[in-house]
Amino acid sequence: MSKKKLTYKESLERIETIVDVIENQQPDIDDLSSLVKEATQLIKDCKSRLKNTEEELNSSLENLE
Amino acid sequence: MTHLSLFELTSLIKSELEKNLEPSYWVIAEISEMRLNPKGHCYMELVDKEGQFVTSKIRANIWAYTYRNLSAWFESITKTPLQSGIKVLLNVQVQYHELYGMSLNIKDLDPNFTLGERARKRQEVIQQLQDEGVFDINKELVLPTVPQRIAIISSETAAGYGDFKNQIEQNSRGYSFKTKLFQSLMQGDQAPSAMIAALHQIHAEIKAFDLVVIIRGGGSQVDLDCFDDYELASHIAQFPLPVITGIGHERDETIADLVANTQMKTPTAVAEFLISGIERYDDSLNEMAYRLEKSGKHLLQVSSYEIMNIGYALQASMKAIMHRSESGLAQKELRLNYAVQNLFKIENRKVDNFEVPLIKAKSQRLKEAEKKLDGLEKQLKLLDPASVLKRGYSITLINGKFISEEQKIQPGEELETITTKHRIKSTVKSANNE
Repeated sequence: MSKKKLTYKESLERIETIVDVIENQQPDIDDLSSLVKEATQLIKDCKSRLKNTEEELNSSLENLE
Repeated sequence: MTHLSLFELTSLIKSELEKNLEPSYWVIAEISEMRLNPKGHCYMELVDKEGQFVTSKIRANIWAYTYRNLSAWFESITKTPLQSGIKVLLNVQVQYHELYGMSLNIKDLDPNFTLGERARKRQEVIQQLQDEGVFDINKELVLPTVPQRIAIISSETAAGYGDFKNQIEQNSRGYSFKTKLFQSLMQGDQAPSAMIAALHQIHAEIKAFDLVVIIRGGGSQVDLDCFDDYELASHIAQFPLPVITGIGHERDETIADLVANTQMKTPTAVAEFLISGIERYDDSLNEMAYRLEKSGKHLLQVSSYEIMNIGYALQASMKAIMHRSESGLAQKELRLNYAVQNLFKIENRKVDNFEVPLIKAKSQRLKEAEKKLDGLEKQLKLLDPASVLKRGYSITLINGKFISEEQKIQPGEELETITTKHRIKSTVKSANNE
């Protein structure tokens, strides 16, 4: 994945894609670990952004632009 | 020249008016000024306009008792109070007082006219916005997934602003919001231009915000006409961020509400709307996390079953292979044994076959050898000196040795003669050495 911070919407879409792959397309057991890791990290990032302090919010939002 | 006193003149005017005018008239007019005196009587100035020009003006009053009834009724129907700036249909009685001059006494009014009038004016504004193609622009903006940065147009002292801030800042799930207040008048003639100025300020730092909310305290039904203003509506409609209104009113929505991206009844409702939007997003994250965990675990389990099954299958096939090769080995062993035994048999037979001639050959040769030996033995026996002696020969030794051919024999030397039965010693008398 690229370094660029995803927007909330992009993050959720990516997470949904991964969950869909895991639920329906039965990834390789080798891919599973990295997919789960990626989705978990995205969820964690988004959740922390929802509850960030104002300063963190500003800086993370600046990154979006 | 006859003349009248002023009082006679004014009395004449009064009597002429009373004689010629109907007891009352229904009149359309705009209230240009209005005030209540301490006793509850209402004093107004009514005007008629052609464009911006006042073409007619007259004083009017509503006595306290009538005013209380009429104003309450008017407000209940139009959701706005009787106030300056609105057009009304009034039932008036023309009054002329010698001292106070001409005025109208308002006995009744028709709120439905004002309602219709306002609807007509609103419709004109709406039509204009639609004709210009701006009416739906803000509505077409997509609300941000997670609106966390909010520009607020309100008045700091407005109750609704405090409600909104409390609601937003103390949301139960602890979401973070960044709000900034852009102060504005929220009622009266100056309100539209003040709100437009606030929109311009927000526009100057537009990247810092996800959306704009326009809020003011609910509760009292106060002047909302400023939200029907064409200029304000046009600015809201064309603003590049979604605008959410929470103007706090119960009557039909204002034009500002109609052109806004989203309209809410109250500031509190706006706050709840924003929070619920984030909650929905958060819930989606939770659901994704749950499904991820579930399906991930499931997949792991499936995979481990698969691995187990593969293991079993591998084991089974290994066993099969080993069994096969074991039996193969055994077979080979058997065959080897058999082959070896067979070979032994064959070799044995060969050996057996060889044995007879060998033995025959052996005895033949032995016989021959025995014969030879017998012959040799006979020969040897013939050569034995003893047998020679038996046949009458004797052996002569000189000095105990056989006499060689070269030996010279001297007289006097002692000879020993051996026969079968005798050993005779003699001395040489003479010898002829050739």
